[in-house]
Amino acid sequence: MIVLVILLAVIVVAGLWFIAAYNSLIALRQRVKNAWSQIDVQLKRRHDLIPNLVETAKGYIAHERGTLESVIKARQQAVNAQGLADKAQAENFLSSTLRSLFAVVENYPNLKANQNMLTLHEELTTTENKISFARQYYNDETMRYNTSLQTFPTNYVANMFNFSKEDFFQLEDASEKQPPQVKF
Amino acid sequence: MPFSFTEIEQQKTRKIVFLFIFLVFFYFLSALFVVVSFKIGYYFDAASHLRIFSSHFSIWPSPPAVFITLILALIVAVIHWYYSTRNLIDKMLSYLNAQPLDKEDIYHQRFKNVVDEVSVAIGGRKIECCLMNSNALNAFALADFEGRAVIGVTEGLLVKLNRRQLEAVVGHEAGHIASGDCSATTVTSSLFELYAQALKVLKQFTRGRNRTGLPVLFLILALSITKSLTFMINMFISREKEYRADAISSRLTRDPLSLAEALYLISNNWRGGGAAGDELSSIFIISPSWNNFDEGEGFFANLFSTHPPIAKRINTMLDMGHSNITALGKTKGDIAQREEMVTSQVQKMVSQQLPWVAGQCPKCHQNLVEVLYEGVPTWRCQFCGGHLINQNRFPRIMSREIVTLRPEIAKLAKAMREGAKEADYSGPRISRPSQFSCPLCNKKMAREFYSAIYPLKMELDQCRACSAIWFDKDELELAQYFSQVNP
Repeated sequence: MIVLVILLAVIVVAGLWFIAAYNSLIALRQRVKNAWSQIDVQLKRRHDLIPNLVETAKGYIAHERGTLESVIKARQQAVNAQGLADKAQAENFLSSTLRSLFAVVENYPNLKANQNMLTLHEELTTTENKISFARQYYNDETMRYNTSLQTFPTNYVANMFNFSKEDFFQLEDASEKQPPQVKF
Repeated sequence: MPFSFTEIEQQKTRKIVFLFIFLVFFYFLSALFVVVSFKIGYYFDAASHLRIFSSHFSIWPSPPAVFITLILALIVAVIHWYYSTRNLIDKMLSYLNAQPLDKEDIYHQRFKNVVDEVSVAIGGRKIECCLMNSNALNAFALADFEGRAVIGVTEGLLVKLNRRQLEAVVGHEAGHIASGDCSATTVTSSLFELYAQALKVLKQFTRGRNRTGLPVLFLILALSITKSLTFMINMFISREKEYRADAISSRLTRDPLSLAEALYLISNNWRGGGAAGDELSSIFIISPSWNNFDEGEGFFANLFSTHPPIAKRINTMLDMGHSNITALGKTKGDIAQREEMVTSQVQKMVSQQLPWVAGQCPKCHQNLVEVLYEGVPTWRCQFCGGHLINQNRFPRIMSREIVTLRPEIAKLAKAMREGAKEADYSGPRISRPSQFSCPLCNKKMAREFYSAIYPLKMELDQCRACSAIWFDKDELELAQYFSQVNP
């Protein structure tokens, strides 16, 4: 009799644990999706700021048309990109064109001091920071989710319901991995 | 983030329940104390002092009395709780005299951007910002039960810390908010703020009126005891939470060295929290009031101090960043010189464009141009160098030191002080009509003292209707000089 009661209690506890584990996996997966869309929000903001930047810069650096055009093209590519891998590649390319544009702006102190340019520079800096923070948050959430998927005993629940691993956001632009060369 | 929000909710509920029970308990004990002392007083009179030793006397009140006391204590506790937690954040912000952001001020914009970045890093939670008008360096965080969160800093902090250090400080405050201990701190501070306020009011009430009757003294005594209880409450608010917030900050920003630099700068400077007082010190990053127990550890230090030893916090951050304390010696307030260069270049650019703006210089009748002086928008006359500044923006300029004051200003200031000594300015504020008309409304301005307080006892042309002050060529720099160099 006692054995029956104990067995029943064990089954009930195991059932409750099972439900809790499943719910936590669902919640974690949703957090990962939310984190991913946060990155999208910041990327879109960057897309919106760039036309203004190009307009402001056009008047001053007419000779550097190449740089300006590459920024415009990169932005167009990034807006049109579909699919995860394409998007990541386009965004990384856009980042590198923006970097070369700001390197060029350094040589034009008049443009650098322009009121509009200052505001835009601050806005872009903070957007770049937000993009990297959003990526950081996404990676943190992905780490928690993946860890939860693979630790015992939650991995049984995960396998049963086919929860799959999420990928980390990684640097694909090979040039970003090189340390910057400083030449005098 | 290592915190799951369901865990925080559970923790919050437990802490809140615990706090409420403590409140009821506290009132119950106080009521019991009052009842017992009255009982003793009643029975203890000169003629029959032996009565208290009789067998019928019991120091404890009877069970029905205890029960009634408990019910009364519960009622009083509920009223106190309701009063303190209604509009919790707005109430606390008004105690701290917090100001909202000014959209046109570039330092405020930068602060808002930094807070937005940190809120993205903790998952997109909305955090509001506000400011305290003070030269001091400090930062605080408030949160209430519905999820509203506010981070505030002092004006001095905005200026003296660079962007990375500011981000580290904001990350620390966001750490408090994300880990959930901010709401408990806010509620506790608010609960005991009631008594601190009452004590202040009573002190003002009895001062100079010679009302030193016994009941008033008794009340003051009771309130002083209550106020010292705030130290006891610090047991609920563990000092350890600051270490945790430091760790969260370095996790968010991946930059422990900036936090170490920021803590170093704040602790070496004036770190006041405004007129808020000791009761609210637990919401700040570094305790605004210094007490002997701050740098100690152990039982009494834990009881009487709200923050852990600063040296230990800085060393922890430096260890994380594989650096040591000698590196900090080279950190001065890293006020970006680039900003000074940019500001002066902006002024040059603007003078070449001369766009139409509201108003003309009262002296030269030429158009006033909007320029940024010390990061604040002001209207400047390009010919005579005078400035028209909004009254609300002027105090901020005085706490900013980027613009290097010219050496002639020091001589002018000295001459002004010598002249003032000979005249007698101890009377009420003398106001006389100025020779200038206000550029905005065209009425005559008034020439009167900006402030009766010594450092800024200088005459300025002010228009009360437009809240604007007109500064002649050197007056603005003189005002800065007086408030910074010659306090």
